[in-house]
Amino acid sequence: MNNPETKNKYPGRRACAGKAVGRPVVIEHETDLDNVLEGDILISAQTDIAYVPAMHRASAVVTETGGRFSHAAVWARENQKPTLLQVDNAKGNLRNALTVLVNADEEYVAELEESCLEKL
Amino acid sequence: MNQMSRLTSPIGWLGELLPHTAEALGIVDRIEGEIMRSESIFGRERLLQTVLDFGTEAYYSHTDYYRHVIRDTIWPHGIWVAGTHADFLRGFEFSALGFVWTGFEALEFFSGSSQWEIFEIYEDALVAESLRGQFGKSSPDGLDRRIELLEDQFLQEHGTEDELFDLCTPVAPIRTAETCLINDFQDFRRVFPQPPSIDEIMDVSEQHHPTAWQFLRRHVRWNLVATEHLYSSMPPQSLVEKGSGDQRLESDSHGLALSRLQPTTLALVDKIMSLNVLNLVLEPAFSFKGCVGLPIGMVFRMAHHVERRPPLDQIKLLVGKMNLFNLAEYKSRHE
Repeated sequence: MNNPETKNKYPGRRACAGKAVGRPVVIEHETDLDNVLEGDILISAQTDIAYVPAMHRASAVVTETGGRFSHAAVWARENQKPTLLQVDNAKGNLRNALTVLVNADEEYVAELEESCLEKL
Repeated sequence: MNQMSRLTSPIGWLGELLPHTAEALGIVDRIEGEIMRSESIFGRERLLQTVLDFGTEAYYSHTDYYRHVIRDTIWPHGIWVAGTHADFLRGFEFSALGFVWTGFEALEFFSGSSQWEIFEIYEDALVAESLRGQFGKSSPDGLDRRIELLEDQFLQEHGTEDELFDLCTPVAPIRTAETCLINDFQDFRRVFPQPPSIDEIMDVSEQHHPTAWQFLRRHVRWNLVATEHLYSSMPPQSLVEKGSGDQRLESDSHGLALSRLQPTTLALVDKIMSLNVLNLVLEPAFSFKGCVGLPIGMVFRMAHHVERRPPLDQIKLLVGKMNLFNLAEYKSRHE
């Protein structure tokens, strides 16, 4: 995947390499997990075992916290899912974005420019 | 406990290289064994019904609610004094056992068979959570802090971040709770192709009993509504297990890498791995987010309005007594 035009890049820490583009879905409560559809980007403060089905449906995972051996980090490596940890205020910053790019290779998540969305 | 019902497979010869990790796996098995024993005493049908009676909203809001209790309560700190790594593991097991007993005490209360008043159960819940907190995230000498310190030590003295990941991420035969969920749900669906009712769970054959109950215990806090939801929410493509050949290859490759380490590096890896087992295997299934955490969380919800809240000093005193590692004394409070 070539890097499309992006705006508002937010740095994070790579748990598992890879790139994905999708609709961001912010998780505030466990009941929000059903909103994550196939290919969406799951965005949350942290993850736990209840997130597993939604993490499988998501094309990438972004969390605000989490260390090297956090649940999200280990799960991402086990399942080869592009995942960024420690993205400050990811929920607040990406809540209203239409589409985001998770570039775990280069350790950032960014909103895609509208012009770019038309080409996708 | 029979071999089929283990959350973690025995690690075989790796146990000789990683004694602390083997001990952590033993703790996971002993905690699950205690829960199984308590399930049997409490009565399994009654257990399923009691948990269903808590309601679906309480189930799905449990983790958030419990986190809110942890963050918004003033807890006694500094009771646990840092000791050796082995001491830490022993203390962790002690606190986890106390959490199990308190969870079942709460279940007795909610099923209407307890003579105790809510403020008495509440006091025990505060003590159990305080003790658990000595070893958890909020403690300056807890699990997370210890993992961070050991990781830093590895990176400063022993290897790169990639090597740290490769050596200390649990691999077969150790399975994180998240991976275990996939395997256990696969097995459960083979026994119950459709979401089961309480009667169907109770009628399950002796052969399939461990499969059914280990899934209910580890992954859905014994809740059949949550079980039904998993049937529709888990993508079918995610339910692909690694074959035993893949697991053996993974295990052999990891074992080979470990056997080539210097003794000091191996000892450090063992400590990190043992804490990762507690954090990634035991915590999700059997701590506050898991089955025994649910009834304790229900106590906190109910006691929110109780006026007879025990003072912090009293809780600290009670936790201090528990910290003498007198399991018999602690257990006697719950019998």
